[in-house]
Amino acid sequence: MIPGIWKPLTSTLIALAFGSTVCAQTDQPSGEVALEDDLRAVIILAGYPCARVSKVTQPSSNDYHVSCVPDRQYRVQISEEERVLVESLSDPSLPASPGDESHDAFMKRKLFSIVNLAGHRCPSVVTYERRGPRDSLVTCEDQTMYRIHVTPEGRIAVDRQTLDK
Amino acid sequence: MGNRLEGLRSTIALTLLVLALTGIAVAQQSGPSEPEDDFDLDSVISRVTSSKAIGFFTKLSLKRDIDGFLADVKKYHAGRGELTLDQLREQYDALVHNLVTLVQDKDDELVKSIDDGRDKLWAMLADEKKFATL
Repeated sequence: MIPGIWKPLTSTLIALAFGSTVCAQTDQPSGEVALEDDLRAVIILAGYPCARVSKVTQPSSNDYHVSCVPDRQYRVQISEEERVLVESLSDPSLPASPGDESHDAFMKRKLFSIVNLAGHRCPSVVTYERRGPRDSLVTCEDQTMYRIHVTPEGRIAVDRQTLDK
Repeated sequence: MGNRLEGLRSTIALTLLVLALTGIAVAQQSGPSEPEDDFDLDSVISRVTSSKAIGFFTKLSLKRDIDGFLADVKKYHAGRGELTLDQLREQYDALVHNLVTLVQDKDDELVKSIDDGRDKLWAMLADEKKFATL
């Protein structure tokens, strides 16, 4: 029913199951997502900033320690329930993410990840204004504001906003 | 080791099925002027599940958010949801935007398919009877 389902994941499956080295996984065939980019996306999706991955170590087969620029360390694990858990090693007071969260926290985390995955820097989303199903305005902790909207081509555009004078 | 591999396979299969279901619904719900015959569902399934634009761990992360969202939709239709329909729509839009952000620049055709079907897919999710058939 699902053709080709395993083909692109074979190398990752083997690596996870048999605890191969990070080097083996980063040797991705052309066009596939590199491990560093995959881990960065996971960290951002969990609600944590990571402008760029500078180092990855793999203490065990389901455990990655990731250093991000600027100066943040994270632990990315696959739990026994085979879920991806992200924990901040730089700030252990932060809860492993994402846990149970309110609607507001969910929305802020999703909007945070959209802004950061688009290549912008937003330490965290403090407020957001929904202008419709295709348009939102977010304010980040550092007071930068971004408009997230869908273009006529269906792409997601993230535009930094300047304050009106 | 074998059990672990099997467990991973089942997790991945579930992940990909969720993503694939999204892909199927998106494909089926394309623009009203386009006949459904124009869409090759197997091709869409294959494209979503084997997309190189999304990494393995990222797919697992998306699965958790999608699972949580679908559980909330299910609770809503069962009359014991904590979220309103408007809040669910907000979360749906955010999930779709998140997915598009991950694949755009790498798979523009998939981006177009998602955009074509997003409103009609939501209509299916919001309809209790249609949701039950997904």
